[in-house]
Amino acid sequence: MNQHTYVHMPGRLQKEDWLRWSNWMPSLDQMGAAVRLKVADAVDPFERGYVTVTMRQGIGMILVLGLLAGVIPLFANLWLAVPMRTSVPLAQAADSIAQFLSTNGGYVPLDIAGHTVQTIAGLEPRMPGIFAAILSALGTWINWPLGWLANWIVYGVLVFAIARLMGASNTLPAFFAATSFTAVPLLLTGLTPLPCIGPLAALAGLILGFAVYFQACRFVTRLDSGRTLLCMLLPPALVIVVPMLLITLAAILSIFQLG
Amino acid sequence: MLEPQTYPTMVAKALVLDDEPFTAMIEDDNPWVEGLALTVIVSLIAGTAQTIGGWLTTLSLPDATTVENALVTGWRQFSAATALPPAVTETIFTRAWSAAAGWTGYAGGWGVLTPLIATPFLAIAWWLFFAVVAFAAARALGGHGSLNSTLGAAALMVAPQVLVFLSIVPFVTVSGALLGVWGLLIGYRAVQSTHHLPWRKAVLATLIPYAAALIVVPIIATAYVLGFSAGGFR
Repeated sequence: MNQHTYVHMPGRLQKEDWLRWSNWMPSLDQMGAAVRLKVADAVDPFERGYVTVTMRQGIGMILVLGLLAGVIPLFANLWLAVPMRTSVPLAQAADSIAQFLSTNGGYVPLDIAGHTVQTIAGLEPRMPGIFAAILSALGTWINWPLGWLANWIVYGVLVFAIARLMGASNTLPAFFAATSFTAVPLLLTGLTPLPCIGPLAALAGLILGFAVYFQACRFVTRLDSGRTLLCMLLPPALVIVVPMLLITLAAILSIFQLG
Repeated sequence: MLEPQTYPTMVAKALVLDDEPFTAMIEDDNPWVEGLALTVIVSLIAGTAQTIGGWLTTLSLPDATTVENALVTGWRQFSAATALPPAVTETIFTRAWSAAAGWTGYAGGWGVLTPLIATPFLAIAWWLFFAVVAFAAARALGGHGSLNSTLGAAALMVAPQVLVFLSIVPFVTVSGALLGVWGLLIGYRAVQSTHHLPWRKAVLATLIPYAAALIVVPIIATAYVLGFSAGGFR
């Protein structure tokens, strides 16, 4: 059955439909529209007035773009770990410590800690060092899309819950499908290892990602701009404010106890 | 009759919160048996992947004893430089290290096999606990699904564990928050589909098992610690 038909056929998907690439990825035009902040064109390319992109396409897009974004960091990790013949986390720790000590050296306890980390990074792994470097680089590469998936699902649930309490009426799959387009500008965060332009590109990607999420959230929840922004800002605010309140409370209690 | 050939499709559709797998589970001729089989198969594969991944991670790191010696040497130097009591802190460090290295399997031994047993055990325990408590909560809130159907639909909560299959590659970490929240969403759909509750009541019935777990788990942990300190399990 043509996926662009208006006729909705219930029941099981055919195997070939289930495995079709287009069922797992939106088109390049849709992704391009998201980057141009025309989120309505991305999530509803046939102007039917609702989200026609699916959560399955959202998952596929996040996995593919997450892996693409991780390509440059993958090569950077291989570049770092293969000559050291050790696993990526140890190589990164040794490299970070070396950079830190080159600017903040001279304080004995820090020097000792740094020297210890570098000693451990220099120890021979139990498997051949080259395999340890390649396997661990592969693992850290796979962590890219997994991290994006985690942020998308965990943050999305909180935003959707608040939006629902504010009167939004759409479904969870439609919400996740629409907000998955945030992954497109986040592709720029993969350029982080490049000197000079990398951090700037990552910052631009994050800002654009926020804008895409805002537009997608607004389109799918039909809330006004103020409420949409509130839905998006409340979860991180709660994450910051609640621990701070608890710490303040504990501090006040301890002062009274000490007194 | 068990239909394991449908599990990959059901798991994939449950992950995108599709109605079909929930309906299939509810209308199954024996939902709880199908649910148990699904939970066992998925969590066993996840546990196996974690075990192999843990073993490969251990191999990709230096020998645990050599690392411990390097850390102890560093710690002695650090203590000397900061005037910390070296004997006391070294004892604490050595105990913590041996416990962590033993439990994770880094130091060798049977610890590396922990996920092979713990993952299926925890998945089955959580599935049963969630389904029973959510069933009671949903019934109290006006739902009319059966316990058998709830057990069947709630078994789909194991679906996010397919991401844990990737743990076979060393250093791959699947966020516990991702697994927990995705499982919660699937649990919500299971409760809603089984009991035909409006969304607010379905959310409440889904969250009650989590709130109950927050009470039950510390009680069990306290009872275990008290029993252990009183001389039990030794």
